Amino acid sequence: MISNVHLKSNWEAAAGTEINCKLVNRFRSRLGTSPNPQAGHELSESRQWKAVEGLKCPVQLFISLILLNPQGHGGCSPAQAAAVEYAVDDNPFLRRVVKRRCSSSESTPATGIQSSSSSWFPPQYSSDLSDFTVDDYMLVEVLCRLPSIRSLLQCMCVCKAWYRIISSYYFVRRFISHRINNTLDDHGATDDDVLVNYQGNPFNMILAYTYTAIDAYAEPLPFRHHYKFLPSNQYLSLFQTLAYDFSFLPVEKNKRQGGFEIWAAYNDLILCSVGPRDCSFQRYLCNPFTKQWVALPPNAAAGVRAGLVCEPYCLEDTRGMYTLNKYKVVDVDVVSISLYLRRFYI
Amino acid sequence: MSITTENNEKMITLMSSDGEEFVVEEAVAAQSQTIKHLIEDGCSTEGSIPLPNVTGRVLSEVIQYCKKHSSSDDKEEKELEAWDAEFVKAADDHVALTDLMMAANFLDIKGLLDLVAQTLANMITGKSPEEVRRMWNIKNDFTPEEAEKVRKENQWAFE
Repeated sequence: MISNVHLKSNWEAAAGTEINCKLVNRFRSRLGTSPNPQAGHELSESRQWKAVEGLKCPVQLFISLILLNPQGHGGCSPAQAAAVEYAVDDNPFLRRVVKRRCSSSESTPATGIQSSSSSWFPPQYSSDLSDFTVDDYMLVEVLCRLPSIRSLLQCMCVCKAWYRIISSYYFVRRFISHRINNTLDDHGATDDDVLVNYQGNPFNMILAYTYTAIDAYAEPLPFRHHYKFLPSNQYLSLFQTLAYDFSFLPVEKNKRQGGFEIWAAYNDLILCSVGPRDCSFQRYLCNPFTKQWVALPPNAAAGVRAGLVCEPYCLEDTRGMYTLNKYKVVDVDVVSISLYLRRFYI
Repeated sequence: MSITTENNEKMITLMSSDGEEFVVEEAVAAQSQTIKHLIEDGCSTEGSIPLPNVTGRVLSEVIQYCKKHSSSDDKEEKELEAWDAEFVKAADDHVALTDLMMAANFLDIKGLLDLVAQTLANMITGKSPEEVRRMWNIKNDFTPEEAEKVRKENQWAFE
């Protein structure tokens, strides 16, 4: 089981890298430069790299940083040239920004959390099981065998005890690991069911896009994206017609005009922004399947770009314990990146 | 108490919470990891194995399951599946199934636990929260405001 999970994680990382590499190469060819094997090494010594150390997918982060800074415009003070992270809790159904760590001197409070909990609601996704009874564990065994997240969420409404169990961190891990360990057939499965039922990582998808040279923005953009989501599995054909729009995001009408941009994606999470390409755009971390979202705190400065760094689901560490899955949005100031790019291309 | 049958199969005596005794072959009883460990520790030689969490009615069902699964080999998988389906059907309602599941959990019989839990999950699937409450006899302790809030949190699941 352990090696199985690791294999899948590796595969997942490899797949993501491959896609991203294509983009990086395209970006490089646009600038007329060739790949440099030193690049990763240099970046790993820089400040912003250290600020996010401990994360487990450096390759993806590295590529994201390059990808997300194609313009190299900026003008921020060195004080801001550090990474800012927003950690998002790892529940696959309800993701909220729970913590913000700011490694620069400047700090602003996190805003835009979609909903707050009233007093009786349990602390979200605590791993404390001391108040679980035997009956609760039995219920976990039953509920983790439900075929889809949709039916699970409906069960949350049954009573407070069920709500507490389903929203517990223990249950979420149990639900996911049950899926990874069991190949479920897809008899009569709906689209949502198939998404969580296929063998392996339950929430993966591939972001497919086409691009044109048409520039609809005042500021030149390398390409315009037309997004389509494809889950990374054998049900590919099923989803080619599946369109996901982002109209569920609570965007003011006037900001909609400014354009929509996807910055990063991982599993079923999308980091995107809506609004004009100055500092007034609003960034969201959202799940297009569940139509849930969090608004991220506003950017510190116009030049800041961001990447989404995630650990795979269900990591087991050396002690056989499940580690916390972390999702982080990492802001990196453009100044340091453009300095790096200059070194890279001369 | 351990006795030996004609074909040299060691027999184990299990005692339910209500004092009913069941004599089964060791291979059948060892389907339960809990009992298997007890046998390995030598408990079975000192008389019957008491199972304080399992009533006689449930234990007879469990033994029925264990007998079938210890006598069948892999070739009969299809037949075994059909038998399993009939077995949970015979358990009739979710109360009996819940008892069975508790016993499977206590006795640590993974196959039975999987089977019963999946059956119960299938019973829940596709039911509205109200139907689930009726089925499991659960009281809705949400206030209307709280219910609305939970519903709103997961709006997409109800569309």
